[in-house]
Amino acid sequence: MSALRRKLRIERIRKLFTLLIGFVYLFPMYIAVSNSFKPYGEIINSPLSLPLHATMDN
Amino acid sequence: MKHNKLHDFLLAMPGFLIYTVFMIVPLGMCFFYSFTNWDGISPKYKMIGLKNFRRLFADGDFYNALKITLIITVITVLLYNVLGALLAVFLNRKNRACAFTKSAIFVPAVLSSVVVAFIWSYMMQTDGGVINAVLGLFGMPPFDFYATPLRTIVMISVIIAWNGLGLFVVIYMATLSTIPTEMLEAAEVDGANGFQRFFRVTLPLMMPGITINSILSIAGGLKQYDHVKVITGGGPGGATQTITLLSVEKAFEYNRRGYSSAIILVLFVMIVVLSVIQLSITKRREVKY
Repeated sequence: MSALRRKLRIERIRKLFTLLIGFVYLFPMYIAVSNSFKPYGEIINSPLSLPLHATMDN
Repeated sequence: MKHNKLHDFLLAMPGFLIYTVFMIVPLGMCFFYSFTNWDGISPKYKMIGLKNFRRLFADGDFYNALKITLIITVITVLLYNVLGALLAVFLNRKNRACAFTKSAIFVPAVLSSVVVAFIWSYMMQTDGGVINAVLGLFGMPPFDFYATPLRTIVMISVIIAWNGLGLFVVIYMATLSTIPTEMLEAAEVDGANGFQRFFRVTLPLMMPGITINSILSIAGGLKQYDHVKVITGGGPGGATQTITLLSVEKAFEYNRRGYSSAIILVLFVMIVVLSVIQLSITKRREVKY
């Protein structure tokens, strides 16, 4: 029983790791999309956050 | 149906004409102009023999560009093939996480190289750049990616690899799907561990994919133009210039079309020689079963 449980846990860690690779790979896309909705000051001050004062002026 | 020579010839004509007009004639013109001192505009020029090539092999800019191009080629080939093969093996199973990551890796491959280079060039800034913000979260000091030409070139190679990796992973996964699963099962029954199964069974059977991928990546690395053009423009002072950038600069800024043709001819010969060497090495290692 414990061997099966261990196998399931390895499988779950593997899935999480896979998802992590995917998200890290898409990180520049997230930056490009989120910064395109920020006013200029917010890009400089908080480059990583989601746009707080979203603007369509860009 | 009647089968004769004229019929064959007419059917082959459209493809042959397009290939001639867009490939063979420009190549011949490039070959011809590399022996002249044409400036690209004036109707008059004269043959100067091998002078362009003699000047080229004494040109420090050319050797610098060659060095930069080779650095880019080596790094991108390694990243494409090692990372591509590992990711293909790792993602070669059916669940939702793997499906998501497969598509995530393919997303940059459909973007224009100019877009990719622009996104990364502002992520790489020292002040207000995103990469340094992330490093700051982990308490690391900011890193100046533009401090030395080598750093910038290494970073540009990583960007190129990020952009093109999706295609290579797809090719490797296609090759993986041709490997019969009985082989891996047989190896497992015989007591081979994961590493042995990868290096002794999977890798030799992936050799056709490695052949095509290394040709694509070597040729792509030697022809590299757009990412470097957008990120540094070859500057400062030609420190990060690749061979293609150098030849375009010589042709359109210095008006030395003959000289730039000579550069391109040398690059052409280099790509052909490297591809032939590489093909003969990897073809020999492909296994039959």
